[in-house]
Amino acid sequence: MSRTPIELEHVSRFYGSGSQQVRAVDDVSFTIEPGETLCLVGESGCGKSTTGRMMAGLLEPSDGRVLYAGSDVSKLPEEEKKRFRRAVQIIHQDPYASLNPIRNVTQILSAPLRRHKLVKSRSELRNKVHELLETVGLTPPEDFLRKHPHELSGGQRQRVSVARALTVDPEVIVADEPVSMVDVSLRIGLLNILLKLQQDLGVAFLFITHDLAVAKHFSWEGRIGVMYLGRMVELGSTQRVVREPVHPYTRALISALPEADPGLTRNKERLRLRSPDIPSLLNLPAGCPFHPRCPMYEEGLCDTDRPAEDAVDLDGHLAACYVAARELGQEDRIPESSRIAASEARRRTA
Amino acid sequence: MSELAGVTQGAGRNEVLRVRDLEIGYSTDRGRVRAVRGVSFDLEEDDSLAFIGESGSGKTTLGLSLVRLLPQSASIAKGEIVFNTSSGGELDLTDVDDETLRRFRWRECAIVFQSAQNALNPVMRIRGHFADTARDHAESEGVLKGRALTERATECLRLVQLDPERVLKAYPHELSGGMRQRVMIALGLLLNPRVLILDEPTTALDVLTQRAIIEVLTELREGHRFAMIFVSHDLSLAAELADRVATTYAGRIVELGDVEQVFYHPRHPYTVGLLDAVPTLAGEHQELSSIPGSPPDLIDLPTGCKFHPRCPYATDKCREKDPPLIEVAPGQTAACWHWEKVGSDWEARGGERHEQDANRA
Repeated sequence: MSRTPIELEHVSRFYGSGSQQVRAVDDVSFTIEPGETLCLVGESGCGKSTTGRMMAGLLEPSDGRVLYAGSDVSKLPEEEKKRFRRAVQIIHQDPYASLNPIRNVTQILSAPLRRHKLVKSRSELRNKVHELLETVGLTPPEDFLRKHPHELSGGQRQRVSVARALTVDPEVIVADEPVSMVDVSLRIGLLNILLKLQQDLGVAFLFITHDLAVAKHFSWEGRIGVMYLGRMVELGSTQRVVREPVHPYTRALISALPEADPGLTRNKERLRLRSPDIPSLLNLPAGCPFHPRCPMYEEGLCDTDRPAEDAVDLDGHLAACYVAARELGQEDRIPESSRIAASEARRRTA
Repeated sequence: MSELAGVTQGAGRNEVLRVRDLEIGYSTDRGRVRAVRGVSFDLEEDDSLAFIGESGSGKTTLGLSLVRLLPQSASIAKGEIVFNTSSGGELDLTDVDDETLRRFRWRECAIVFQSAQNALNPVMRIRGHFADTARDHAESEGVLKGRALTERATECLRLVQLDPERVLKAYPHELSGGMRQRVMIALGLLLNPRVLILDEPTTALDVLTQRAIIEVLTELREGHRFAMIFVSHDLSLAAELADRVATTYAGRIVELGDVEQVFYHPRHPYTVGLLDAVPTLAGEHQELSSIPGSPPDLIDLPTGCKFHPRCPYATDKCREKDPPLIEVAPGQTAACWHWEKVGSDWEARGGERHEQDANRA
């Protein structure tokens, strides 16, 4: 199958209307190249799952477009749409809810193979199911073929979900918190299986997690996008995001994360937030949505215009922060109105 | 006697809790679930002890047993849970009447549950929760009511960095998850207990909220004299808050020691396995591996050492005989026949790596 990039172009998703309207995802753009890994990280309610669901075609964007092979997914003819649905698969967070409890493993894996006419005979079907179970480390396959989901552990169920996603030879897998409900000792095993899929089969991943350490492990050679209140606030290579984060929110997340190492975690430098409370999506602050909590907040500069996703652009490493833009010598990216408001605020306090 | 080596050393110094050879089981249709097996430990005033382990390791059952909140299907088969109460007496929780138990809870030992969402009454304002708790203990000395109660509740809420004016009037649904969790901690502190038990206090909370809770707990520990017991699957929480760490597996403590000992010089292969399975954010990309197999069925436990089916060190001896918890270093115990080999392998492959990283940081 030819591999094509999937592109999100100024995608938004709104819920409700009028004063009750919530912008769960607000103007997010990125591209996933064939075979690439992009991790979306952020706290609950930041819009990372909604973004993933839009990419997988499970939700229509309220605004903006999802492009597959250059064409708008919502306008694809039926035949092409089916191809897109095959190309992008999703693994859900909860393996207890995402598998049909009255179907056994063989039935769960056969359904998509039949639906997309990927096997021609019963023996081919059986071989394919065996092969899939081996790929996800459920061996020997004979032990699992007749098992129902309730007879499997959380980790094993999640492996069945992965195998199901693989049935249709996808180009991209959207993995929404795939390990957060799996026991600590089994998490890495599942992550390593997903990593192997990426290396051996060239599957691209949109990997959604709240855990930066997991993102770092999974996407070391890939990219990380940090979301906050529906917006992408930083996007860049994993190694750079983890080592030299630009956006203060990313820096706050990194400094707040406890580490499984007493010396390291107790001596870590902490970034103090101005407020611990996250604003409501119904009542977003003006300008940068992080400014009421941001330790780098500057009156005028931060609460006038909403920083563009690429307010800072360091060779493709993007961050939506005007303070960082100024400090990194990219003042020309700050709009006139914010600059004027900032200098007026300075004059007032002087 | 070797079972108790290392745990007895602290006895005598302001000890608040002593647990000996505790066995708890649940009766089910399939048979008896042996959730806690032969657990012994001591807790001193000011001490903070973390029980780490996966789901099904018996850590929550253990936490609940310390306030006797076990479900009906559970029973304590043997052992003792002895509190040194604030009045100076000893109280064995395995053998008390309901009235004593009612007085004991909150006043001597309070518990903060995993899900603060469900632990608060949805139709009662936060003030009501404080009043309820105080009223239940009205007959004991230092009755809290009226203005005294409001003052104490205000003080407790300030300790956990909440705005008492707003929070006392609020219903639980008007507060965020992190705020509710802090309300639970404040409620736990209301009657000045000697021991606070926290069951997964930060699970399901966002990173920045989690940090706020950790800071509250760290500050509380610095300013107040009470002991804490954490129950968590999250190693980083133990690394952050514990003085001592107990690794639990299949209902037993398999390793117990100071936090530095357990994280930097583990001697039980399960602890090593857990440490190898957790990614860190600092430093380079690490090779991580998970522990093969799954946690055991607590109804049908393996013979010998319960970890042997998943253990790279397993030998015939492990399959036959369950190893006792023995002293492997001053203040550190481990239950493994091969702890010396486990230790030398760990040190040989640079187990101190973490420690050096930490010094550099």
